[in-house]
Amino acid sequence: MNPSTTAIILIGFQDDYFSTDGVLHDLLEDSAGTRAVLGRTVGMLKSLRDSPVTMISTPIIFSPDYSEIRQKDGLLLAIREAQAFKAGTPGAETVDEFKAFGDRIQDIPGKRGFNAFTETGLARVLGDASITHVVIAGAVTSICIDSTGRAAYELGMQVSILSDCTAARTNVEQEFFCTTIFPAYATVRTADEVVASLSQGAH
Amino acid sequence: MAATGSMNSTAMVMMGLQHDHFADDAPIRSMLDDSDRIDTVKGQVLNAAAELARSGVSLIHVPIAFEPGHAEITQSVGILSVIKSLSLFEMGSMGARPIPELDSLGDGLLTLSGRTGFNAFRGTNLDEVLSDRGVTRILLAGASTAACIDSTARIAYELGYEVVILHDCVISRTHSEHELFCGTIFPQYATVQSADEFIKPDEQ
Repeated sequence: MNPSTTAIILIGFQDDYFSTDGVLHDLLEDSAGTRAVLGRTVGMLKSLRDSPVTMISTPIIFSPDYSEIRQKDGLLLAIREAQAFKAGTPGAETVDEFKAFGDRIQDIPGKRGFNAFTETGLARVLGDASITHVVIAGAVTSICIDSTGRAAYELGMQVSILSDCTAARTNVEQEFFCTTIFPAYATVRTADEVVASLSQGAH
Repeated sequence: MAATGSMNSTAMVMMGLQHDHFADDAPIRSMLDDSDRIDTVKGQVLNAAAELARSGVSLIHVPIAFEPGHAEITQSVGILSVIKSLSLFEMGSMGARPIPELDSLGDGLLTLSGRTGFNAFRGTNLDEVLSDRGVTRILLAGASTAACIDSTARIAYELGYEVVILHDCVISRTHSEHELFCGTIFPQYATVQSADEFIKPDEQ
């Protein structure tokens, strides 16, 4: 992997998922596993901090009246009903652990659905930086991780999904996606593998 | 029960009803569902489509097809890379052709070209066609569950369509994939029903 053309895309690292009092924290069954995902992700970012690799965070945030959500069923309706990821609330905040990185992590706002490319500047930012390989971490495996991975693949990018830096609703779901769904469009790697590969600058 | 909207504002969007998925000698048949189930699903799709068309539902087929040489596919991993290496769904080839049984659906079936990936909205004018027809709800059928059906359903949901997955009208790579997607993945953004449950909700 070439760090100059690689971007790490951090999805949903917000208190409503990752904080124990987040309103959607219970959606992720394995609470200890979710903390471990955050820990490994932060460890990876620290290891790569001084490398040229691009780091991007794409939080999902809704306006206080949730006018962006027109859906009458499904997860987006559930988010609206739970009042999750509401602008100005602690739950919408990016996890504290990322604050130490300051501007090293670039925030791309505008995500209001599953796919981090929809209605955000993500594709343009990646294009401007000549990124050809995206490495995806965050929550939730079967939703935003999968939707964003599919979109990146269709845009012609190389996609890596971090098996140990993504959080699923259940361990069964995590295992199934990493072994049979993600390989349909991506390479599944661990954080250590990515750090090693990017540090060598190998392709 | 999803039958809240009218049939006139509903479209059945069929994915990949083509030789390379459904024919007896299709090269990827062995990578797809149980062979018996592929034929069963094909029959159910055709029956459901005919019946839904009589109720005023729009029928749309979105095949996948590539230029000879598959230049559209630059990906070196995943399903698109396999499609390229096996020269599947190549324009002008038998494999890319719609299954002949679709002819039985007559002129009411609209076929959209331009799809070169999982998502039926990309490269096609599907969104425009649906919007022109006043469609607010789409029923998904065809191939295959975890790839094109799922990608299209996710995008449709994000675009604001009501999405119904006709679980007996989609083929999956494995039985466990079918169960997981219909049981726990699709319900996050779609209603999962059999064609009969959708067509005759009162009899359920």
